[in-house]
Amino acid sequence: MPETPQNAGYMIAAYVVTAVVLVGYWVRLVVKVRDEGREPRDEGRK
Amino acid sequence: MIANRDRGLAIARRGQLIAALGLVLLAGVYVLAQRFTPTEVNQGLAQKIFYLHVPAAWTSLLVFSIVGITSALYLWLRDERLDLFAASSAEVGVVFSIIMLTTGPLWAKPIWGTWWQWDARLTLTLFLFFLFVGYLSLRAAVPDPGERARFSAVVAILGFLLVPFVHLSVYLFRTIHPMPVVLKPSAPSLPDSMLRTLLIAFAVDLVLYIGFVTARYGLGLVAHARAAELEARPDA
Amino acid sequence: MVNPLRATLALAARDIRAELRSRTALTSALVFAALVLVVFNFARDPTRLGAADLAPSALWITFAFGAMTTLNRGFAIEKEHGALDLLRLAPMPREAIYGGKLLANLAFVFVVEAVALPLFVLFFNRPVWHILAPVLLVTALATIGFVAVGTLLSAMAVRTRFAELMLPLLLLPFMLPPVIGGVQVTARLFADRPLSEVSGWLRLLAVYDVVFVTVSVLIFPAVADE
Repeated sequence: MPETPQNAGYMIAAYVVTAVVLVGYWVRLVVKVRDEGREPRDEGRK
Repeated sequence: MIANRDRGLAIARRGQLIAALGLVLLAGVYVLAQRFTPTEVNQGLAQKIFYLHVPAAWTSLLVFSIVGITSALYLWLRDERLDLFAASSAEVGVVFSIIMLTTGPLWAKPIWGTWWQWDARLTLTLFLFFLFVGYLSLRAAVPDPGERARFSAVVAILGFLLVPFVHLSVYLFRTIHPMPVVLKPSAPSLPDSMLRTLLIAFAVDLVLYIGFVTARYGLGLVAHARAAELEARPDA
Repeated sequence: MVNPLRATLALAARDIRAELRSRTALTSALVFAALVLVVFNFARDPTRLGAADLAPSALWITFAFGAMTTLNRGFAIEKEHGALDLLRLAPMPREAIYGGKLLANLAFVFVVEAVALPLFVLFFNRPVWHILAPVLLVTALATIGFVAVGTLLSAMAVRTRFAELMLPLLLLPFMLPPVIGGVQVTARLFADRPLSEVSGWLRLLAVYDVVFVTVSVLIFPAVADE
């Protein structure tokens, strides 16, 4: 029976990186949509 | 003129929602991979990186093909929507290739003992990333919209054709990457529970891709509408 | 419409004549190639690394960067003189413009390589006479491939902001298969391995050339058209 290596740190790092990248991109899109959504109504028309 | 602003915003919001659903499902994948999938004996917990890395790699390759095919269609039909869709896909493709390129070394370090190897598939994925970045840099550097669309389509098609050559040339060089365990002629050599988690993770990545690309496409429509509006108002 | 083949040759001849008058691209590429070879020799620690181990890489780095320098000039000259728009108006097939540029670029890059190779033999003390034919073959095969893509990409890069940066960025991935192939084949030839050992590489390079020359010719009108 081979001994199972202890390498949970790498796994946690990978799971955190994936979540950060995906959530980060989502937030970026949400912010952009919000900015686009209110821009011209307020000051665009004079 | 391919859109008005409100329609673009509506599409972007829908994409945002789909992506949010994808993120919730991703949390589900995390739980599934941690709680309900057995730990591999020889590799330990690091093997579970597989459920993030492999689906991200598949998604990147798929998105890359989508960009190539859409670009070829654009040169043929010259429909602005195809160009916008290709550009949106390329941006989302970069997101997935970043995941692929970071989770890969995190798995390789404990298992191979080294962060990086010049193996066929690794090199291929790195070049996919370079091509995506080159494609997006080119888009950012061409001011004229028509020219931008044609130039980037040409680069995407060339990149699409390059992929088999990169693969073959590094393959002739050497390879130590794990051989395919799912898509191979015989039955998948993966326990059912692991295979199920992997396929679910891939499906979730696809949901995320669809959500992101829809949001990005909607934002693109808004930008188009704004450009058209500026053109229509000579005083602005 | 003029005969496309004749137009191609005429355009290539025009570029070569223009270059022979100014010699800017060739001179800079040649100086650059010589510089790379010299630096490589000084950067190598002769007690730890034999010249034979480094020679193929040094040769191909010289070729690759010499070619990049040459390609960057190709369309830049046209742009400076505003000749590109005139070319587009000329009554000739778009493919001929690409063909002419490709032939001219190939001629320039081959000249750079033809000078770099003897310098390489001199500096690295590697006789090539007995393997000259296969070395020339693999050089030609690899060069045609990336110059074909490079010519197409430079036609686009020149119309972007940061043109000098855009070409290397876009071309680099496309240089990988030809340059790896070139290094691998040359290394085996220098080690006096039989030609049969590298036939896989030579075939790959030949297919690469056929695919990318064909696609570039077919796709160039999409770059040139308004």
